[in-house]
Amino acid sequence: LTYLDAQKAEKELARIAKKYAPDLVVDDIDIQDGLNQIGGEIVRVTIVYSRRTADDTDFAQQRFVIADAFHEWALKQGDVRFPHFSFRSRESDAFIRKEMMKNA
Amino acid sequence: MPDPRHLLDLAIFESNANRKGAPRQANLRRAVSTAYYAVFHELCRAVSNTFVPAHSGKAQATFYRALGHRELRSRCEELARKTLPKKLVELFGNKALPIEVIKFCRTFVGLQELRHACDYDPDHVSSLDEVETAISDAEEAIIALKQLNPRIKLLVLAYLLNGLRG
Repeated sequence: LTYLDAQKAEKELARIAKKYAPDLVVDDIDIQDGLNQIGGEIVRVTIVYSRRTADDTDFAQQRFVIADAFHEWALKQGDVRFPHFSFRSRESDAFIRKEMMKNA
Repeated sequence: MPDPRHLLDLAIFESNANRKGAPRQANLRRAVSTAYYAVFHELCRAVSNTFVPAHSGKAQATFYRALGHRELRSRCEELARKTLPKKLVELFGNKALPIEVIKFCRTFVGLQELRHACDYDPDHVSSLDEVETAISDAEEAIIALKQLNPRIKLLVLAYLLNGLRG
């Protein structure tokens, strides 16, 4: 990562996820430099989970709080890029990877 | 004016349009775009209802169409922080904005990015649960905007519409 220490960022995100979404069983965290669709620098964050809270409203709130807390942490580290989060189930992640392989 | 609630219903319908087998990418992409526009139209409606008296005809339409996607994105990025940038502290009279503002702005930026990927990136792949999440986020964003304290809402809408000069 250009402006963040990748290992530190992943560790911090895992800590935040555990704190704000204790039901969330995280399989994988991926944090990458990226460009948004209008060419600006962003951070792309993907959280792949195998289990989450059953309550959609709770999960919506948890997703928001996780993204917010990580953004705040990144700003404190001096990274002013906007983080874009994608929360995916394991099945969804496998589907996306398979389709991308097909398209490649 | 399109009813944002109806656009959300349409997004749900589009995401489920092909009920047999896996959803088609075209359906999922359309659903994301519709969910984004539900939020966008809610914002347009809020701006025109706030700054133009009711039944003002073309003046209302002019305000309805005054918001630009790109400017909105960068202004929302600035407001989607727990601690406001210095230049905005004076405008809002506080170092931090209510959680509803942050939630709305963060969701708007995320949805716009996803909408652009769905509409313009040929390599983008959507999954049903990601699209369902986007629709649910759009719904939450609309609720957050509606729940804003009127004084804060006025300032947020004014800033989203005009930004700051100088």
